[in-house]
Amino acid sequence: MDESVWIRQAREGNTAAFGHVVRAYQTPVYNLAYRMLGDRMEAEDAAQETFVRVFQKLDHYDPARPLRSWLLAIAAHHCVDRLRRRRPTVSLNEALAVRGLSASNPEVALVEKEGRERIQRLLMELRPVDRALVTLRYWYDCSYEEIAQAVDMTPSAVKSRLHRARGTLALALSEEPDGV
Amino acid sequence: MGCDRVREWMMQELDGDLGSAQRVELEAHLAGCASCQAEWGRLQELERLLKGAPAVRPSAGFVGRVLARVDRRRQFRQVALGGLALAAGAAAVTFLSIAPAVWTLPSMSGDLLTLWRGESLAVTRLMGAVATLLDSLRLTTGALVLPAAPLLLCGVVLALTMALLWLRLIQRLQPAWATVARR
Repeated sequence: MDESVWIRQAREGNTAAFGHVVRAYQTPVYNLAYRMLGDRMEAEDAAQETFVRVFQKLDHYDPARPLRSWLLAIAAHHCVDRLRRRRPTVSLNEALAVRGLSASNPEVALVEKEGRERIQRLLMELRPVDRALVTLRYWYDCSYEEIAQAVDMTPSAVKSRLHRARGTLALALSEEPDGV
Repeated sequence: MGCDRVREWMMQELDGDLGSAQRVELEAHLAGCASCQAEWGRLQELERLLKGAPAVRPSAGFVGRVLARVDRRRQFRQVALGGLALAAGAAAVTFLSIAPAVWTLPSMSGDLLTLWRGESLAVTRLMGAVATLLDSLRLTTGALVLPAAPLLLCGVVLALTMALLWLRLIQRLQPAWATVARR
């Protein structure tokens, strides 16, 4: 079924129709929340809250804008707000907390976990907004214009910050024990 | 050519925005600059790492949890609105009950004074003062209320309507409150 039909039905209060939207976009929203917050449980809560806000704001959604872009913008804003309310320093344990892993092959799960932790360690070197920029660029192939719309910046500011973020990440990567 | 300029070209190359002429210059610079070559190596390694990382998925049952949260939030808003209606209804009932009393009390001041006339002078003086205050209140409300009588009438009608709506909303929300209380 067409997304626009789900949105129209969800606007009328049909939560089953909204469930289709959640099912379609749960991974992009959750992944963004996880990359920004660094904790699975917090990412789960943030992702749930994002969808609740989406449901409440459906009347404000402009169909001319891609739905994914609008959802990720709400998620990014919410995660930035959560990080601002946190205490200033986040311990490495909190940053690396990964729970609820399940895999049929424990070795595969371990390798995946180590890879995920390595990337998350690198991302936690960045400021929250920069994490959003990197995530939107690398995981969702968002253009600079889409990213700018999501984080309320100009495209040139996004480009500039993304370049600086890359430099920071590359340096952090080189300083890892098994880095380049 | 400065390394800062070359670093900017590296970023453009990663974005797929670097022109062919500049790419040639970039490669020439990298061939002769160990520092920039190392930087380029790190950036490429980072690109491979980030582009190769799969998206992290939520745990099973996420959709159900979201929909349950949406339902709870909707019920909470209904209860909150019910609370507001309750407060508005209480204010309306208070207005309805006090307004007539405030209006009629000053006119009773003369009767009160008559009742106490036979008692001691102190009590008479005290009641005189009270009567004066009540008369002042009546003059003040008369100056304000009479010109605004139509507005006051609308206010009374509005208060009655809100009180009736409040009663109806309370009846409808009783099942929602029971659900929230159980949670």
